[in-house]
Amino acid sequence: MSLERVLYVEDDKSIQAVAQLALETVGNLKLCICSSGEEALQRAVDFAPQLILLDVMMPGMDGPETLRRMRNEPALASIPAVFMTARTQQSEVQAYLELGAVDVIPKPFDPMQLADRVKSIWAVQ
Amino acid sequence: MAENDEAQFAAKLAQLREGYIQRIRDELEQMNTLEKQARSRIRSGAGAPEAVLGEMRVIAHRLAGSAGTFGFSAMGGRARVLENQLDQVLSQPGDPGALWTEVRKSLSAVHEELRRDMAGAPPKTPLAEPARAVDTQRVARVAVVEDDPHVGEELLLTLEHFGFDVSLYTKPEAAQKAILTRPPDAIILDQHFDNTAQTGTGWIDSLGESLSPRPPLIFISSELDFDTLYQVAEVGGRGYYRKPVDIPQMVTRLEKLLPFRDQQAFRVLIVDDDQPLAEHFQLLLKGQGMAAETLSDPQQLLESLHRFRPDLVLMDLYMPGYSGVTLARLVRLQEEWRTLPIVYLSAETDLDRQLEAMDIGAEDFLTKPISDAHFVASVKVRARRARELNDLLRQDSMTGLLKHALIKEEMGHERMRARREKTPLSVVMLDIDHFKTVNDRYGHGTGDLVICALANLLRQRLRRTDRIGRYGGEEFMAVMPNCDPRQAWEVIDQVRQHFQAIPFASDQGEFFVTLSAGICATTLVAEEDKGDALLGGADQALYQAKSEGRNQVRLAEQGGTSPAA
Repeated sequence: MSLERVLYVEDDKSIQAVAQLALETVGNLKLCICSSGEEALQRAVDFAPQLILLDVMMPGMDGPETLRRMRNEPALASIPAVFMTARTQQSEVQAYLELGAVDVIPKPFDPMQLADRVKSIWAVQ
Repeated sequence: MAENDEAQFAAKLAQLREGYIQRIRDELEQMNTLEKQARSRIRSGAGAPEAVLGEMRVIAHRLAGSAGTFGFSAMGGRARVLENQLDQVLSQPGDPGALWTEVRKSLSAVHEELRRDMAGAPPKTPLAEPARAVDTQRVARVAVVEDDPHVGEELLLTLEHFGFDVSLYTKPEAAQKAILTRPPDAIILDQHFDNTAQTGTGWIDSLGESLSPRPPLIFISSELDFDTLYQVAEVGGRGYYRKPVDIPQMVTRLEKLLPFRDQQAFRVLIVDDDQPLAEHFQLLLKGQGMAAETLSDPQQLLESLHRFRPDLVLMDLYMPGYSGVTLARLVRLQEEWRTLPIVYLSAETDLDRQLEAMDIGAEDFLTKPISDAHFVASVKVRARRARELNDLLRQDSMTGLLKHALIKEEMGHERMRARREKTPLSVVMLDIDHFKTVNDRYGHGTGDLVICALANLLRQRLRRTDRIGRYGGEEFMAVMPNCDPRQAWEVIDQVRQHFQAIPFASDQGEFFVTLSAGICATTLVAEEDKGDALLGGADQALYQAKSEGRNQVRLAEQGGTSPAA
């Protein structure tokens, strides 16, 4: 089974647009794009993603909080989640992993390589 | 991605970048206003205003996380420094004092980098030169320029058996147009065109800058003289074969020349207490498609090594409370990391001290300050060398495939994964038929070539996710995840058909070789059986293929019934 459906949560529209291009055009993935943690929680169950990509720092509900709530939702609890963040110091990465994320993609990312990165993360899950 | 997709992608990306530039201009404008507000509050003795600082920090953070994606890596790096400084200001209530001067410096550096990026050259990475996405299933495209149609056809057919996508051109003019429009991954060309005075090297030379970068070039010729070799070397030729060409041997060379054969990103760990500098280095390496991590606390070093598994460590020589030399020694105390290359980053220019440090076992030195270009080039070279060395340890030296113990280990991993993911896994044992006769009749050198040819064929024909190992002398093993036995049979039978069509050269003329294979899969053995059952099943099936006349692929039997093909 290969990766097809990805829920992508990011408030920054510029980054959202590049990632969409990278994941849809290069990676041929089907995306559900949400601009906030709240929106993600509303739409995630219906979309039934195989993987969740979460920006860490968002106004309102941030990435870690969004993930925590998803973990309480039985339909979403076991879907692998990946944080995307510009803060990749080890202590921070460690904290994200402890929250239950399976990996962290550092920002800035290279748009040409994003889809591959996401797919390879998924492949080892 | 297909070519026009790629062009479309680049165009869309450029469009997004335009929008992004407008946005950062606005944000930097806002940042200036916020900075002025903060400054006047600080001057009036009211202390740093937390809300304003918080806003500034959010903007800096966003820039740090996004600029590189749009090709403004240097600006992103500056924004990251700014973000860290603002963090520091926020963590110490009261007058930030001199720290605020640093914040202002960083802010103007961000502006400066943006100006520089906008004024001069187009962005370096990734927009101008989009790093090619790693295509794991990619078939190598090879152009053959050969005016003798017989030689050309033979090259075409045999290279196609190996799984290359080959275009044959019998006229240099036709080749020129096609090659310039869509440069292939490698070019094989005749040095002497019969009907013209033109030579292959002369023709390549005449293309000049219009073919840049030049794909790897392999020349073929009926001559073998010093002058021709010199010309080939002069135009940067990477291989030279005399006609009649020993194609399997040439393929072995070709495999090594194809750049995307080793696409796993190099992994570099940067151990440096100077966090902004370390992050700057990290950004530079990431810009080059490498995976880089920084570590400022040496206490975390071993944990970091285990988690990140770098190819190379860059280690600051002096850190508060720690010596890089001692840390290197500590790393070497671990059996697992004994061969991990460590390069010191240091301002140390005293040659004697450098030598003393290298005695401990670090590879060498990079002296700070170092230019970005120099840094990137140095790290790349060292990481590649490290990877090659590591590959040597893991791979069978002749075929480049995994060694016996490692392919078995891979099977264990894949078996566990298949069970977890509930996907089928196939295991294949392949053996070259009558190999002893090949060796006896044509000599061991030729026998080795036959082995390499099969290795290359497997590499070309199997998926990237498949694992291939040299199990013994002329015996190979393939582990094919997410592949049921019927699919595996299709793939391996294709390999069998192509292999029997490859002509091998010897002093007694051309000859052909066949192979037999046996396949077992997780769907054919009991769930609780270990990997040994898979291997045993494949071995049994191979034995059956051999005893029933060779040159065939058999499936293992399931509980006594025979689904064999």
